[in-house]
Amino acid sequence: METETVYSKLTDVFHDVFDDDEIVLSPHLSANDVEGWDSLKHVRLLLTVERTFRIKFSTSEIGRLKNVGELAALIQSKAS
Amino acid sequence: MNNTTTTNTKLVEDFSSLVLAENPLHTSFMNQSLQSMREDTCAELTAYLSYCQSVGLTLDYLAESYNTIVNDTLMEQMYFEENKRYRWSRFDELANAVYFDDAYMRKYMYGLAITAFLWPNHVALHDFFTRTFPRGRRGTYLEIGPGHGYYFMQSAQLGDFERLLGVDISAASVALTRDVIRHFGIDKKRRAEVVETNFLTFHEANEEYSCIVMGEVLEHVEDPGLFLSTIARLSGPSTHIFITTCMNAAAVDHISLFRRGRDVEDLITANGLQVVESCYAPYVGKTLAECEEKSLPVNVAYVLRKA
Repeated sequence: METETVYSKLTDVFHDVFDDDEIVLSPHLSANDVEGWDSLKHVRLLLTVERTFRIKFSTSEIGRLKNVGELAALIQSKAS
Repeated sequence: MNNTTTTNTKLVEDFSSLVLAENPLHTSFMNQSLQSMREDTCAELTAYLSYCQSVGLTLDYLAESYNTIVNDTLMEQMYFEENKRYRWSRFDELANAVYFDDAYMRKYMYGLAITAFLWPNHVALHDFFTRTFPRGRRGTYLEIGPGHGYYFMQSAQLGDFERLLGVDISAASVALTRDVIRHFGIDKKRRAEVVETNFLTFHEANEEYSCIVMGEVLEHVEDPGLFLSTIARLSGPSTHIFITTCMNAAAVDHISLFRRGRDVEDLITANGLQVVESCYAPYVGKTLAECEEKSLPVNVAYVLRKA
């Protein structure tokens, strides 16, 4: 999947999960930068990503994520 | 700022830096925890980290242990969010992967102990524990599932028991609690022992305890009612009983799902015990009613007495 496509779909996911159409994704964006990104939202974010991209994360994969860039790269590596 | 405060904060900061180096998405949560942490809680966390270091554990290992519980809990929360139930419902489905896996269980227990200082709900339950504990209580203390041993240690310090007994099904937990007993000299002035066995099949000649503590056990067993009725049987009219459990809170080894506070309280009443006082800690920013309606996590502690 192209990077642009990943970011486009991921943007929709973020807008939906955080109910905020103003969020602009960048590779360095992290939980500290988005208001309301708590553990509950993190669960919903990851689940929505899994559903949207039809992938499944492992514990080791999600534990190492630093920012949106790494999340996008992980999605790209797993999504067909 | 005096030297003691600086030292306390530095150890905690070093620990949190190691956690976040491997788990950067936990930054927001950790920062909030540290910023809102009371001085006494910081001192306790520092003391616990220092104790762990004194028994040969590194801060890296402790950070890894904490991250283990954070990440494993996250996976289970994802499962729960999708399926509205815990992944496992039988003890044998997870026993070998958790309780009988020494390396994993040790990490899990150290990580869990640290959450008592960092996770707001766990802090609230811990505060409730110390506030309601019968200071200077004598007699025999029983703890079911002491796990990391921290509550066991605190009970020894707050009470004046002639004897303290811990019963745990996990060899790793038994070892951890014995470490705590040795390190804090708990067995220097009184009998203190930990037995590795199934509490339900453990029998003693002395069948009335003056204080019984059972933290985070009910959600781990297939028949929580049986644990409560056994506690009732082992209690006298003045026995102080303290238990904690949780609702809608998925974890790697949670099998009994309580969805509402009423579910737990009805179980307590049905098994020969009465609620004296309760402490509900809903998900931060939510009410208990919201959590029950939306299946969000709630931690709860009760002081009980025999009915």
